[in-house]
Amino acid sequence: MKINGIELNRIEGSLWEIPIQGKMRVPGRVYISEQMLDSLSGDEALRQVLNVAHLPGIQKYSLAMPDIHWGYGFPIGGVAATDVNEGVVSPGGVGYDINCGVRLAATNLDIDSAGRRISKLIENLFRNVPTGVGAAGAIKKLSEKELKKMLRNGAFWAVENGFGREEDTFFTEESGRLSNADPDAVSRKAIERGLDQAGTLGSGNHFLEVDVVDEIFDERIAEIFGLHKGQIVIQIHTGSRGLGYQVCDDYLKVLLKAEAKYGYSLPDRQLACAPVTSQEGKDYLGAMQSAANFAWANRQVIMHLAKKSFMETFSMSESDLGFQLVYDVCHNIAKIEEHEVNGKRKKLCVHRKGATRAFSPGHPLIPTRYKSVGQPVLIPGDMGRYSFVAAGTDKAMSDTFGSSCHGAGRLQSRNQALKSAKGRNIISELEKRGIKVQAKEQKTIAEEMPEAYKDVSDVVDVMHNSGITLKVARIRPIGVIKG
Amino acid sequence: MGSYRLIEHTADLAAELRGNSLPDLIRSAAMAWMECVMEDGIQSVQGTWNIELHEDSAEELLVAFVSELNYLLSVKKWICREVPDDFHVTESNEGYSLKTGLKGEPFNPALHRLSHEIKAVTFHQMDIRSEDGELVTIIVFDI
Repeated sequence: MKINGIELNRIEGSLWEIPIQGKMRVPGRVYISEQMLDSLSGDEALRQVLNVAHLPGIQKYSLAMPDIHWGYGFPIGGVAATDVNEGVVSPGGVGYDINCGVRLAATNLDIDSAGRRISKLIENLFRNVPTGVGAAGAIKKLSEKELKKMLRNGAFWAVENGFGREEDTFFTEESGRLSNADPDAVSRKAIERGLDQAGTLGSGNHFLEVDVVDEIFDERIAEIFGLHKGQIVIQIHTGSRGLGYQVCDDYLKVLLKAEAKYGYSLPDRQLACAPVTSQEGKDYLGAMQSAANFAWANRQVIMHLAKKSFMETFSMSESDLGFQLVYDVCHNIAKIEEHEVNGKRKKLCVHRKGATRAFSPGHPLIPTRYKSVGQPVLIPGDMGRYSFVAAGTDKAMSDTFGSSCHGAGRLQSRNQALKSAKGRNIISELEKRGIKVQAKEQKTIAEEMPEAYKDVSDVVDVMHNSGITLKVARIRPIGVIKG
Repeated sequence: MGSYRLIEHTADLAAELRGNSLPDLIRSAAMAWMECVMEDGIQSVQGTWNIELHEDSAEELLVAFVSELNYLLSVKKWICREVPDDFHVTESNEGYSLKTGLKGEPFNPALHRLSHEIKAVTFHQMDIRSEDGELVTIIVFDI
């Protein structure tokens, strides 16, 4: 079949291929159900999968997960792995919000005993966690020297400064710190944008959500992840804030020039790239890793503020509350990883743009506690329905460079959502469904209302049925704070 | 005179910009930025912020200009309210340059409400072209 003039052939089930044409170096591969194919005709996301297949050094396939939609250069939901010796790194394959990600923490509370205090909890969370446009102040404005320490040390900086425990880093992707971060490769503007934004949630689709575990799909894995039905958990979704946006902006410019220097001719200038081993590539990776570390410090600080809010609301000690980080994943990143390509282990630069790492059982880079079941994969939905916890598999390692989907994706534009919300009280509608919402701007709630998003279960089911990730638990929101 | 209209974009915010000249187009982009970022109607012009930019192409200059407005708000806590009518863009073999004094005011959270945080001004769908004697392009803001 053809969608928007692009040939798409079914390989099996929900896996489709764009065959090599023109100067594509590898085929494109898209995970999507037949029912969701229509969503591809409305934009140029499929074209972007095809464009990414032109990147020098790309290995095996230009991949797209089922939450695929139109991005900048790369599609959202895109995964591309390039050979570190012969291939390129592209900021477009990471996105503006470097290390935007999700963390999930579990508590000893359950809905029966804690449910009636959720309103108070949301009030406390809203007071303690800075949200919204231009939010600042969770921690005092940092000096440049201190910020650079944060950029080097990531989540460890937060722990060393009293925000959480060292144990939290055991349950964070890359332990919450990429060791090749180079703060000197971060521009003055980016530094300035980061000085007062550590420990802030931001706005748009970022959120802090209190959820209850409402369905378990795999008892064994759920138990190992520390999850059970009725349990209260929280999700934090945010990233590297203005610092990360500026790093992407700065290096898109640098790499636009590099593209000409290295003689690349790519179909979209937002695929600007440079060899991984070039000075431009190394500088971008050093700055990008610094921004990623900022994001991990940010989520670590916010989790600590959330824990304090729980302790205050329920008058509980930390040990009684049992606040435990389940996992923290990033879904906008480029990482140097080893994968098997045509029977050989190769060092690759894996770009995940709106895609989540999903490493298999036994992988050396996942926490000891999860070794037997695979890495937790966190897939947030919308604030009215549900989110999912899944686990990585061997098939993810062999077929998608250990990657899976990252979320629902928008169905309506912000303007359409505002029109749908006109004359309605979305906060009251959600309250009737048992979800307490607090936000700095009412407009944000309208723009982010549940029906503005696709049903995330459709996305998660494609990954589950394809064997890329296994569904472990479904969690539903009972309280949300947003910018 | 330039003009703009916000257009549909599923995930982010976008505008179609029009202008008789590159400075007009840049002013249109600034107006679109203001509408996307500011919620309030309380506006005053209390000062000038001088900016000077140099870029290789017209598209890069446009993106750099609006990115500067974003930076001023985010870091300097200063809101641009007006872009002067009389600034020029100089085009040479070296590229495109502009120098102007923006009119605006310090951001005051007690008086001003912001509606969106623009993460970045993108090159997505940006292609400055002539259409019926006007310059036209789309600009997409990553939200």
